[in-house]
Amino acid sequence: MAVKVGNDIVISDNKELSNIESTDDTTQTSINNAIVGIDNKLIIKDATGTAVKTIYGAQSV
Amino acid sequence: MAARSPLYYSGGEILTATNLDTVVDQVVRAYGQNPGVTLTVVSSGGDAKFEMTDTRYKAGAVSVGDGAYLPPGQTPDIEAIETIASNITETVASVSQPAASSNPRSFPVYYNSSNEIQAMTETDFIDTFIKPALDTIVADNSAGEYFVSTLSTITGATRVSATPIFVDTRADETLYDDVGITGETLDQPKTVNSYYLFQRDAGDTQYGETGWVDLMYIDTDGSLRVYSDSDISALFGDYVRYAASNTVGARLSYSINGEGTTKGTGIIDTVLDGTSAEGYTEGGISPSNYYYAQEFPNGEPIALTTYYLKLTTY
Repeated sequence: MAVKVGNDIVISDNKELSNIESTDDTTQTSINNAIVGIDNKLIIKDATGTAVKTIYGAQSV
Repeated sequence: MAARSPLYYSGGEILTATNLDTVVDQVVRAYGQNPGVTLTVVSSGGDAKFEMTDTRYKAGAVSVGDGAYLPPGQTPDIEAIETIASNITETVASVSQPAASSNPRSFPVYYNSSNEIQAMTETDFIDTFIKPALDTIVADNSAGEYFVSTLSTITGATRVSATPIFVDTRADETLYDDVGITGETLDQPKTVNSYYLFQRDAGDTQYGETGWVDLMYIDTDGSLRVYSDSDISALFGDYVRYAASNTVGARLSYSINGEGTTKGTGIIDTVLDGTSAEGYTEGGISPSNYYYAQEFPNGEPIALTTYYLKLTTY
């Protein structure tokens, strides 16, 4: 059975998220940690080899 | 430390550059705008490695025979006049290591062996861009190089001085025409050719031209940023000047007839090829029955020595 907020389905019978208009800090952190956990990343290093920035991203499954 | 394949930004993508020719041309241009090794024309006292000798012959002294001409064997021979031209000095600029060397984010980025984006080291940068540019300056007609010509003006180049670096003189055989009883003036030269030093002008900027790639560096916040024209040109200019003066294997050096690539036309010292005896000429007879003879420069012009301005890296 779908989950609704008001008249809007937010979780469908097929377990799809829909009509999500934003995320709160806790949710953002959870999503961020999930992406970091995949550990698909691009590291930017300076000439000494010191990482100055790490960019995490999704990967194809 | 090695030559790297830098990353560049193009249409929203970050790509690996496979052809840096246009970028290297920009480095060459930067050198031409402010060379680290310069040549100056002086009237005398130039560097020994640029010395050249102009040789010409003068007549021998008159021989006087009492009652008959003295034979060639008893008539003074023609003599060589050798003038050393020492008209070039080389100045290697005293260039300090550029400030960019102290910032590990100064230089263009590339993919390292771990597929990470990494900034080049100073040595990587010199190996990737600077040394190829200096090799080009040696091998090809390039901005900032010096070369020799007999012309007074050349499009795309500037004559360093109206003073020749070498003047080829030779005996003017047309003037040795009569011994008489007083003899010809011994040294009667003519100028055959004058050779001048030129410097090739810096060409147009290659920034944005076909083949140009927008190199990137790491900004203060760790982001990738495309170099502006002025920033990358300054980086190239600072380092090509520095390397031309300081970096082993990349330093530029000119010479006469030394190692390297010939720059411009050969400088030819010509003389007349006739022997002294072949120039033996009988002159007048005085009322006192003295017979005057002299040996003159004669023959066909030949190249005695050919000098070449050379440029090499060391």
